[in-house]
Amino acid sequence: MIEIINNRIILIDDKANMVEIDDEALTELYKNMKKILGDITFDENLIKPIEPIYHYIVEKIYTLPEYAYDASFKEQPKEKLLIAFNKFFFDKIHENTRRNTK
Amino acid sequence: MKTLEEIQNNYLAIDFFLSMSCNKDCHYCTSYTLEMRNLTVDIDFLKQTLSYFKNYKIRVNLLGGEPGLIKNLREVILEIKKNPNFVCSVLSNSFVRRKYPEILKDKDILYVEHNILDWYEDEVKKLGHFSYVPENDYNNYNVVVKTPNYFKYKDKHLDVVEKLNHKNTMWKEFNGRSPEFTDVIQADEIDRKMCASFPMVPVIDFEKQHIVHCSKKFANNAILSKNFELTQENIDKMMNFRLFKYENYCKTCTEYVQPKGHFPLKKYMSLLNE
Repeated sequence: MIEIINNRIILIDDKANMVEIDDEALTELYKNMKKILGDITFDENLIKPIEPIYHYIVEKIYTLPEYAYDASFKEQPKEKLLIAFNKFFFDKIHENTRRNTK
Repeated sequence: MKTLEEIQNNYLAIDFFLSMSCNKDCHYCTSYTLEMRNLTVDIDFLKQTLSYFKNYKIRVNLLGGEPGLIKNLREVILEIKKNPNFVCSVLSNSFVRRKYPEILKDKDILYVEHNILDWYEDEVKKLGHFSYVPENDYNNYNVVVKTPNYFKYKDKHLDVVEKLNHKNTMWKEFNGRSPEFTDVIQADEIDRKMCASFPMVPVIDFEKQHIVHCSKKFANNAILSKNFELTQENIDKMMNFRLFKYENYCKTCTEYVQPKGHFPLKKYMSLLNE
């Protein structure tokens, strides 16, 4: 489970251990996506196929944070951006976990 | 009259390659032939094509080839202007000024003139005999490609630079279309992926009557772009970012892609909110 505590991203595992995700770029992405989407739900189950452009927008904001601004997307594109964000976010978390357990 | 900024921020551009024929042979051009052919546009095909786009805000770029060679260009423009969702744009080497000067007086038509072939030590070689488009409020623009020669010789032609230095000149980044102009710096993968989803200008090829993904991989290129049948379904997919994919030629592409983002987020917002 992911929790945001004091603007920090915290991963809570099955045994309730809390581990901070120490990835500045990912935290920055979270903040920028929050500006665009408002409240953010972290849920891997939300992920489903969407048009690649939404994934690209999220990745672009990750690589170039100033690409983001307070854009006001309508409900449907907003939903898809949230899916793309979750996909990108959980892929990064899994990638980090894999790297740390090697 | 819509301003250039309004058009650039809210409209997707589609190139209508009316004919491949051109009266010039620029060494960096991807799509021309000196053979004069297909100079009369099939209006039924045009009407059908425009009907597929009727619900989308598009900038229809008329080019080819040289649109000034098209015999029924007035009729073509009239058809485009019937739909308020469309903005008509004409890209010419200045031949349009000779054949259809009224286009430059119509504020609803974006007229873009590519009048400089290249920059050399002793001259700036032009494509026509007209002077550069001056500063104006008629939606008329110069487009100047910043070729390697431009950087090499621009300081020798400060008078020309001064004439061009105003709000009605678009300075276009050089891209690596010509075999002589090597540009090995690739844009970041994410930028190429964004470009692949909807390039600056996909093409409707009026000669082959199909959709072409990439205008830079056209007839005069070794690697050719993927193309698609021109149907309502494909146009709907294209306009909703579902038709074009990141192709193999995108992986090796060395074309310029704006590093600040292929389109600004504001534009994606406007398009995805439609």
